[in-house]
Amino acid sequence: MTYREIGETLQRNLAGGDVSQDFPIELEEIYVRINQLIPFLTRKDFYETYSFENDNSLNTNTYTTFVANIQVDNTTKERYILLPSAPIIIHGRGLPELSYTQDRFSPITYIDSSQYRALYNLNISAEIKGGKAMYEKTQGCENTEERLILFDIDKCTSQIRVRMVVLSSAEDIDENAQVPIAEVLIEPLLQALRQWYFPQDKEVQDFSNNGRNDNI
Amino acid sequence: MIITLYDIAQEIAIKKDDTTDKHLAKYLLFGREAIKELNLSKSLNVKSVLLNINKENMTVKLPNDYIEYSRVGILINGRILELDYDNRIYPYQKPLDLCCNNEDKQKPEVRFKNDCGCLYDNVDLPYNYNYVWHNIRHGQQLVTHYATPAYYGTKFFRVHDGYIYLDSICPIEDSFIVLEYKTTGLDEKQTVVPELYKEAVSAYIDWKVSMYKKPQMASLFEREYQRQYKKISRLTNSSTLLAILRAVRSTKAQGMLKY
Repeated sequence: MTYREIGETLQRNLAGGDVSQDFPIELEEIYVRINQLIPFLTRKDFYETYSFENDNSLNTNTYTTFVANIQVDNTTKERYILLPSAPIIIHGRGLPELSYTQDRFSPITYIDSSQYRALYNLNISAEIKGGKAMYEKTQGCENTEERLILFDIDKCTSQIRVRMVVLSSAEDIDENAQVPIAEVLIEPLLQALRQWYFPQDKEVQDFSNNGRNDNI
Repeated sequence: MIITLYDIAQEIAIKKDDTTDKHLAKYLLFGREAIKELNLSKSLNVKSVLLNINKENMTVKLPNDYIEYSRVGILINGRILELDYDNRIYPYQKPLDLCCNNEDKQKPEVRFKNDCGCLYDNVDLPYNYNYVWHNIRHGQQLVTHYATPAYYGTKFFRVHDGYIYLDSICPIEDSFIVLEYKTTGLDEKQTVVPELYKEAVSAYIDWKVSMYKKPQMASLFEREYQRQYKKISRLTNSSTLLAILRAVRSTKAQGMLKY
């Protein structure tokens, strides 16, 4: 579902029918709240479903794939791409996955930014076939950037395909974009939103069939 | 098909249902340990390389996978003048006609200097004992050169702390050091794993990972590694009929077998 669809569904539910022009809850503020809830629900879902499904992965439809232009840092001359948000990583799940736009199969491996020096010193990075990428949050004079620093990427490459869990920031939400969350989490999201705007509605259903109440 | 350590790490990732590269570095680290262990105990892997000489201090940096050398030579004008060899591996005999013109009474340093000079001037050495040194790695290429065995009785170099220190006797313009050495089996880039070792390396990684994640299962994985290890032993130590025949013939005079 899109941001707009979820926002309007919630507005109708809260209004008890058609939404009047002067309805006090704006769509934009619902969008901001949706973005605040997505990491929480994704993590919660991971821990709950992981515990009884023994699945190693995040739900596939939480990922978004996009193509990013490769930039070059003026100072360090490092090549990097700008990410729309910091990646959501839970126990190593949700790492950004990179591939060339013309070739999905040549590997580009994500390495942890806290490990790259050790990997280099132990010559393990040389064992890794193909390109490598590492996340870094940089604080510039004007703004903060979420970067994926690229190593050993083909020199002629100007674009890279990225698959990751994306969160858009409040100021550039496209209301017609799909909310980056698994379909099964739309209902918990609506419930959580409803509870936020209508605090008297305390009851939140526990969706996890694991014999305990995970909402406490 | 060439199998690299990276390929084995990917196979393990599939076996363990890994959906990301999170554990890849760990698998590669344990894989490198496995290669070292198997190489040190199960084989005598040697490798030949051409190495650049640092002309300022007459040193040559040894490769990272170096354990000990079996042959060292200097390449001059496409010919190798051997400096030393491990006589446990190469039981060479000295050439019969060492030098012409009564030069065999000269000191080793003088002979070596003369030989270097001859090769620089493209003059054939006065020894009729040459052999071919095959498969010398130079970048991405494998090259082959004629070599004259070492016979000087002194080495003109010493190995210390990751470097070869050369005596400044021979001019070294455009020359390289040729080194054949016992290797740990780890390459500078992606390590190539012999087909025979693949299962053992994989079992070793499984075992080491289990020691950190599932210690109660570690002994099971260790047993599997030992099984693979023995499999390699059986295959590498099994002798051909020809090898047995040679062993018998070589030791017949003593009336007993060495093996």
